[in-house]
Amino acid sequence: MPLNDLELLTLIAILRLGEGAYGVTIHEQIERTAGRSLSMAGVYNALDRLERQGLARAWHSEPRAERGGRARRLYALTAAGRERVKREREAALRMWRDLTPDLFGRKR
Amino acid sequence: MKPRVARRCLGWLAPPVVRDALLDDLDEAWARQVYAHGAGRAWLWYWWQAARGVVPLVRMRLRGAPAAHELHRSHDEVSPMTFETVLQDLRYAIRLLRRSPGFTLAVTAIVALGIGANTAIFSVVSALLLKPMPYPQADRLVMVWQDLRARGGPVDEWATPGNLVDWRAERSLFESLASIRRWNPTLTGMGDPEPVPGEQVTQDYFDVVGARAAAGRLFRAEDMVPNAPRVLVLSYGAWQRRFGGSPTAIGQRLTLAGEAHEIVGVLSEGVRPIVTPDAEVWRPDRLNLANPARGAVVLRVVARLAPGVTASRMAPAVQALGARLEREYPSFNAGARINVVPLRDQVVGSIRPAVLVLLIAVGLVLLIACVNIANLLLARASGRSREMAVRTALGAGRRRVARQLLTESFVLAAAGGAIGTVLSFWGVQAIVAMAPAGTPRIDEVRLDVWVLAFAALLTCATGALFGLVPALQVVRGDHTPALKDGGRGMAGGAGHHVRRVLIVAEIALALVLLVGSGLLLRSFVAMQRADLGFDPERVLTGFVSVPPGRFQTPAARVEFQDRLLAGVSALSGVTGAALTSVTPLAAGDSDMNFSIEGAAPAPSGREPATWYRLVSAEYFETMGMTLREGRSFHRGEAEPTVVVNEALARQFWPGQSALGRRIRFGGPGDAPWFTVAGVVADIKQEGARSAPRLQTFLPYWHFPELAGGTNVVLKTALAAESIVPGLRQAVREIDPEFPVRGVAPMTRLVADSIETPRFLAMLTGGFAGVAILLAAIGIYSVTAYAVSQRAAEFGVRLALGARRADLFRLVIRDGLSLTLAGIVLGGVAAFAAARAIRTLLFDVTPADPVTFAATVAGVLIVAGLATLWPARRATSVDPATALRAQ
Repeated sequence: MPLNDLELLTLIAILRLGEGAYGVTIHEQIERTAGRSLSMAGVYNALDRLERQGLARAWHSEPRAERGGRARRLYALTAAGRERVKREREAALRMWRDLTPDLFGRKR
Repeated sequence: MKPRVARRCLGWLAPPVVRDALLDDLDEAWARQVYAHGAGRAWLWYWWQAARGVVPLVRMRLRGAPAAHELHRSHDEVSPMTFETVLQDLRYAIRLLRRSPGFTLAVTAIVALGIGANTAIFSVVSALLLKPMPYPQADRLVMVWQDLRARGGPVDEWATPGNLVDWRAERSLFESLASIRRWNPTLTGMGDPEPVPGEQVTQDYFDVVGARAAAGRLFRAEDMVPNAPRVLVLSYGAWQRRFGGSPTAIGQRLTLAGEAHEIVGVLSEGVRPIVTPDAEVWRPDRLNLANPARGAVVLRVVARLAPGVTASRMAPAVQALGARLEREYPSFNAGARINVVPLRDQVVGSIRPAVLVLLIAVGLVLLIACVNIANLLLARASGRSREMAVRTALGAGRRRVARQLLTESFVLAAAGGAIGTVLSFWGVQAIVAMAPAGTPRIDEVRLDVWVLAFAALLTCATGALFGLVPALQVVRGDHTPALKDGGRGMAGGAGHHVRRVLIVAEIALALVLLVGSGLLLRSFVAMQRADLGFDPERVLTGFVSVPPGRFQTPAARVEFQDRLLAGVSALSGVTGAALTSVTPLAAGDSDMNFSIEGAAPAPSGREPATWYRLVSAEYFETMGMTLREGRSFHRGEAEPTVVVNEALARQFWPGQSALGRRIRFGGPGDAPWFTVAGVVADIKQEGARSAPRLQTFLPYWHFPELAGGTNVVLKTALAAESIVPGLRQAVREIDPEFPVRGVAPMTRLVADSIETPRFLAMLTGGFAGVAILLAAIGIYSVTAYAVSQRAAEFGVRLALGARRADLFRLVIRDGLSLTLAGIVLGGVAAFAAARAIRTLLFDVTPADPVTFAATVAGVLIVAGLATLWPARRATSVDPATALRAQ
């Protein structure tokens, strides 16, 4: 199954965030770093798709005092997810190779 | 303050697995927004999140919705209305409806037509009656009239320059106030002479209506001074059409009414003139406001109310102002009050009843359609009663089953509503195209957000209306019999009873519509046949306008009219020709005071007045008017004579002959006396509805100074239209610079005058036709269903020796008893409805026996036909087959 760009961004965001990846931080990461505006529900939609494809998994943190004792829903990449990010990155890099930075031609 | 509603919506939409996490995360992010941007921005942010969250959350739901049926819950447990169950019901409903495409198609089509028609009519109501007029702060715009009812005058008499000055001084009431006079000059020097519609207005006019200049400037104080240079403001449309929208138009001169006017400005696009919708030019009305005329009733006044003045607060102030002005100028204002009319009422007030009748009529059609569909759904529900019974027996909550049925209704309504809204697009176009010419604001009719919202609301209401009855049947009904006997279930019992009640309601509603439209139709026919007091057949009229200053002497004007009359009389195909200053059914009437020889002088301000027209001697004969007494005047009489109408003769010389009496015009003075030579029958000057007015016909040759042009009236041997080229040619031969305008056969003017009643009768008639058709379908389906359910009973009856004719009679009697109940109920309602539309009727009483009898007979025949087919089926029951099926 192909990933759409939002799902790819979400995968990378989880990777960047490491152990602190949950809705708020993933949302923030994408908005700030990628400069993309999206809704929290959109993040969850992407996460849902990633979970179903076995690329990400969710678990609940320890209940915390400051948020009414509720647990956060944390996300991490599965092994397949890591593999997938790697492949996507390499595919993208291959596509960029030989292109000049101004995008007008190929390096000679 | 947390946006709770948005949060709850999101919670409802979100799949349970991530619901808490999503809401918690949003809470946390929201808290950051509050910290960073403040509560207001955060609130907006949250709503934005909620709005954008809908699509992804629904996607997640659709991806993960459990497939299993959840219909079988414990008995009577109220299952929570979660997203899953709603989705399930929707899927199930769509699957079910696709399984019976004929039924689905029929119901969708009925709903679509009903909602389409209602939406189209509502778009008219919205544009004409609900939306503010297209002016800034339009609710503050009013027209101001003299209310002369206390002295037997009209409630909306025009104002005098004196009124204008007095009213304008009342700053606490009117922020600004301006007068309007129509001005129809002839444009020369740009191709053929051409009449141009325009207005003369006082300086504040453009402020009152909130108009701005697209180019150049509007009027200033110095434009209002007598003998200031003649200036002109153009409409945007005229600017585009005549000057291609070029800025060089400013400063150019146009020759209007023989005088050069400098164009100083152009109105911005979309400014709607108040009195003359097609006005192209405005010029300053240079009234002498320092010493205003108090007797000349020549102005229409429009005003902008001061801020904060409301209808309730205005009334006492207007009253007080009227009383004060009456004391200050008793000779002019005795018995005069002030009548302030909101602009919208002024513009659309006259057609409001007709529009509302249409809205109610089309609403009734939808109601009948709903009843019909409820009927079909009930029949379907009773066909499914075993399914329902099994479901409840297996533990499905009744409410759950009822909700399932409601969902089906809503799906049907939504489909019909969507198609209907698309249909209404053409409906609106058709209405606008068919609407009577001159219907105010008709160009504003369109499908906008409000109309679409109305369609959506109506769709929901429709679904609820026809869905509730079957759903309630499920909640209330007892399903056990459906399992016990041979599967007839609710059919014979409560369900069928409800269906019979619905049929009665349907017939009653249809009867109301039929009677209403019948009365309107008869009124229209009566208006068409009404004796207007003249014969419009083969009569052609046209106005020959004479540029002012064209004739220097009164004699020259008279001579022109003589030549014109001789010229058109000589046209081949013309059997009679006459001149008149005012034709019937046309605007431009005016009146003047007169006094009677030998009568005591009337108190000032209460002199009798008569509507007058300047005519040639042949006018009465050419128009086909009836001379009751005496004769017409003729040229060369020793003493000047006039002809008056019956109304005038009756009022001033009751029970006596008017012949030989003498009257004179204007105030007391040394005006010449005119002898009454003849009395003509009254004519209906403004169409069939109008009351006779006091009219006087004067020989044109005695009033040459009043002629600014004249109407030509031709009686023709062939169709009136055939003379048009000849008429134009004859005028051209006298003077090529005189434009002839408004050339029309008199029959067309008559037809135009009853166009609104025609339109109303046509549309309501169409609605009534649909209503009776729907009612017939309803009767048919209920009777046919009853016959099929009673097949076994009929079999037994036949086996026991009943004759087939008895069965036939049984079914017919059953159908007719429903019809009669509907007729009685509907008759009472129709009578009430007819009284409510009394003002729209003409020459027909609300209880018109012909209409009622014809309608009842029609309903009986249609109902009879609708029961005939099922009744024939009842007689063809084969006892053996019917009993075996049992």
